[in-house]
Amino acid sequence: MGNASKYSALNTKIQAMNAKLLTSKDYEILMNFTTEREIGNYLKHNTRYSQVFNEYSIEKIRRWEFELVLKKQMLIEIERLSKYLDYEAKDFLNIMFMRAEVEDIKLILRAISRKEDLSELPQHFLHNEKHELVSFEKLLSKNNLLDLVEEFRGSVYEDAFRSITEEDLKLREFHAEMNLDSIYFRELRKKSENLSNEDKDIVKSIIGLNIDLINIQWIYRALRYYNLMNEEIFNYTLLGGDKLTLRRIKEMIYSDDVMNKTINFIKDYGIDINPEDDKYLQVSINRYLLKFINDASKNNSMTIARLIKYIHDAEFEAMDIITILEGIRYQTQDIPKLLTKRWW
Amino acid sequence: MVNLAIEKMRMMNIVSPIENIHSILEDLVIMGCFHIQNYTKSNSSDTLTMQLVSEVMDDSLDIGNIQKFKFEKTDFKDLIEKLSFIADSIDMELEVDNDIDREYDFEKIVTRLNSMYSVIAPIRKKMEDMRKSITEKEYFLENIKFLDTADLDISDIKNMRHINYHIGTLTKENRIKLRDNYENISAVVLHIGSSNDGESYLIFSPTKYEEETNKILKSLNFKEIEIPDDIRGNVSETSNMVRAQIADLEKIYFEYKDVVSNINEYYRNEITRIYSEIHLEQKIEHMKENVAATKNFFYFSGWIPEGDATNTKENLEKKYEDIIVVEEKPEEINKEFIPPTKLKNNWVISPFELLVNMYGVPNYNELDPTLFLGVTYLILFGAMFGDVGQGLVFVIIGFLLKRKAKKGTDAKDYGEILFRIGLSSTVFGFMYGSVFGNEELIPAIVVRPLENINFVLYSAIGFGVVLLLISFGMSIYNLAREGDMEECIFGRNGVSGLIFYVALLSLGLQMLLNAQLLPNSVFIIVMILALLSLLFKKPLYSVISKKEAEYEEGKSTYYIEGGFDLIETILSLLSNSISFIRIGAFALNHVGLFLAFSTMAKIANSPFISVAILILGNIIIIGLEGLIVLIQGLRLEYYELFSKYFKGDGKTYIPVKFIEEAEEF
Repeated sequence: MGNASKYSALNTKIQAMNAKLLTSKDYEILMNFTTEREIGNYLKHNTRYSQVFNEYSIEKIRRWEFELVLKKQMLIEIERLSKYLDYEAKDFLNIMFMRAEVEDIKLILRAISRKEDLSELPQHFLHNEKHELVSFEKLLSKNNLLDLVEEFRGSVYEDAFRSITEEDLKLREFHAEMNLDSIYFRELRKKSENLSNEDKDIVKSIIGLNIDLINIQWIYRALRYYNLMNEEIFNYTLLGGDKLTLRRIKEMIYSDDVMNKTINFIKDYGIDINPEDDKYLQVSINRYLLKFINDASKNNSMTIARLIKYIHDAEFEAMDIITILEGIRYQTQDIPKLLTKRWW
Repeated sequence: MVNLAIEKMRMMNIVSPIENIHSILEDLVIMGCFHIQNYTKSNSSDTLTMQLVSEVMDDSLDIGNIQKFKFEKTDFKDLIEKLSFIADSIDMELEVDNDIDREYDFEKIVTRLNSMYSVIAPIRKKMEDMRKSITEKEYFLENIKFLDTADLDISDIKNMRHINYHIGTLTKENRIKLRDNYENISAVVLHIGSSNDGESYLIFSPTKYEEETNKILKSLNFKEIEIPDDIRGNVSETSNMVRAQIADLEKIYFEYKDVVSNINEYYRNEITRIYSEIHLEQKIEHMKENVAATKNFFYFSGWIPEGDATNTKENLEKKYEDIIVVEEKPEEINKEFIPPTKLKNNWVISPFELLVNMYGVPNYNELDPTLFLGVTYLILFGAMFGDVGQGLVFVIIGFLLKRKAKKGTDAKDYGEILFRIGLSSTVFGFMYGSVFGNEELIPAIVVRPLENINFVLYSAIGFGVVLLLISFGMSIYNLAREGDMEECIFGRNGVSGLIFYVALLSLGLQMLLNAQLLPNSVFIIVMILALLSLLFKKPLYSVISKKEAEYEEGKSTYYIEGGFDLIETILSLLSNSISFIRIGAFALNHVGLFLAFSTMAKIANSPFISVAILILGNIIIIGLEGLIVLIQGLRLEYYELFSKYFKGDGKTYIPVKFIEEAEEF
């Protein structure tokens, strides 16, 4: 089956769903609100989030619930869109459910390291039981790391727990989390191999860029904020970058002016970075990624690119709403600068 | 008429003191013929029953206080989990024993189960721990085996003061990172082999760099293998020592296993019994969820086939002194309670219930269309696919399928259907004189389709017309039973529609045969009158019924819609009839398709290829054309016929039974 006929139904659906994304007008209205309640009510009554908000009373909704609902909306939409895909593409898209699952596993790890009660956790879970790669029911019945690790044996996550100890959980929370992320990216790359050639090219370029951006941010932050050895920085980078191959990373890390090289690398993308005030770094990177995907989707309309674009649109939109909520809570004025969208 | 009716049902209401609830419900489950009528406010206040109850019992029921029965729910999931755990530990399958001793105390069972669980669980835990330990040791062996050739004393390595060692594995990805960055690491890294778990390494680093080394290994996700404390000597001695430990563990493990299998002997019967009793208890609780109760009495109602009603009632009344069983006919109770549908067909026809249910379950008041569908489907299929040889292939496939499939599954019914239509195909094969497409082997009893094209096509339509007329009859009967007299008399599937259709047919036939039974104008007038009565069915019916006609969306809308309806009625009657021409067309097609293959076989220049083509042709005809004919037959049944007379909005009669059919072994 040619890609044109393969994606015609999906793309029609996406077109219809695109129309329901928040517009710049919605953004303006949201930013003018001064309370969380107003935002909640607006989303509940004027946007496609109405369905997920229906179960909640805006008066009573808790902050973390609010964020969870926004994130869940995207998974619901992915579920809906995946009906229009063939087996390989569906399998690839399922990776999004794995990502939600990874985030929830991190929640369990944090709770275990803090010796918290696990019974309260499930309400915070983003992932859907239907797509579980490990049984959360079993995970939640464990109360120490050793038993938990045992439960991951034989699952796709096994490698993330090869070397973890109780001490790691306390002292280097990032160790387990980065190992989990690296498994997520490993699976992502693996699954992209099964896509049709046309789709594979696009997906690889997007994943490659994404990994580059994550690695360079890691290097930057590790240098600036963490006291890590060069070898550790090197070892925690993700494989599969586009420009940043292992050799390039090594050259960068072991060079004398590593910080400058890192900053220049970021600047080469046209991404603004000011080491004195880097709170806009993440959003600049997101904007760059979104623009890249947007261009890819424009040039390859009859491929999986449009689906990927929609997912990112929806995800960054949810992140933006969370940013706006935070702006209200912390009374910051520079919210527009912290939003990924509304930039073009 | 043969039995086209649906099994008659009785609503049975049972009232008894609350102490009897468990015992009575248990009896009902064992009888296995009660279809639960969900408790609602209105059936409990059913006056007939209540009157009787208050007459018989001193403590008259406080109807106002009647409500859904509340009780503590048993955690069956936990019980079943424990049972499965035990059964799994002692290698047995959980099965329900039909022959159950009903004199049991459920609480005792639960206690007994828990005590069995507490015996088995620790043993199981021990065995699992041993397995784990064995796996760990094997893992260790696997990773040090690469050092086998080196003359190395493990205890020497362990006792080094200025150098630390690490043995462990890396994943492929991290191995690349280590390899690419060797020069920056102050350690000696020896790749010693590959195992299931990745690449094995032996690493030596100066003690003073221990912290750095640890960090680096951690960031590489290095899986360290601990050398057990009690290990001494060189590598091969070490290996032997560990192997001996494994052997010991294995030995103990199997001893435990023996213990377990002894327990098995001891527990097996008891487990089956407990499982059966829990199974029964589950069913009883399921019924309890639909019971209503006052303080002292409980009230249960359900549907039961007419034939079982009297017997059941007598049995219950004989066994319990203070029980009231009231039997009611569906006509006597509130219309909102629709009896479930139980189809009763003989073994020849009953597999076709599957095809009926695929469209919809007949409602209680409808005629059961299974017989009509079964007989006509057999004829339709046979006529379209008449061949002795190919038919017998279907018979064989069907026979094998029904033999292999489990009872109560759809696959079994499909097998039965295939078996029957195969037979029909064979019968028609004799009539057409066709064996695997060959028309020279046997004579045709009736006709050879391809030589009598017109006859085949005309008789197809003729047969279709007969089926449509029968459908009209069933539709009129169903509508009358349902009490929808307006549709019954003036509807398109009612008498008016039938008159129009008959007049249309007669006119057509008269013109075709150039005969003159009645003047054409008479038929035309009858047709127009019938159409007018279709259009004006509401006002006409209001005259007959002496009731004001009600127009849901206004008069004008009604007539506009009615006008379009008329056109649609005429068109669909014509197309319905013509549609049956496909029976003839497929009969011809069947021969034609084979003709193509036999021509190819003839012009092939080797007899081997000819035979191959004929075999391939037959396979294609059976597979492809067989499928098409199956579907086309079903299409005629569903679209042309069912749409006339069949609603299919009933619900299936599913009694609560101790052992469901699908659970039978």
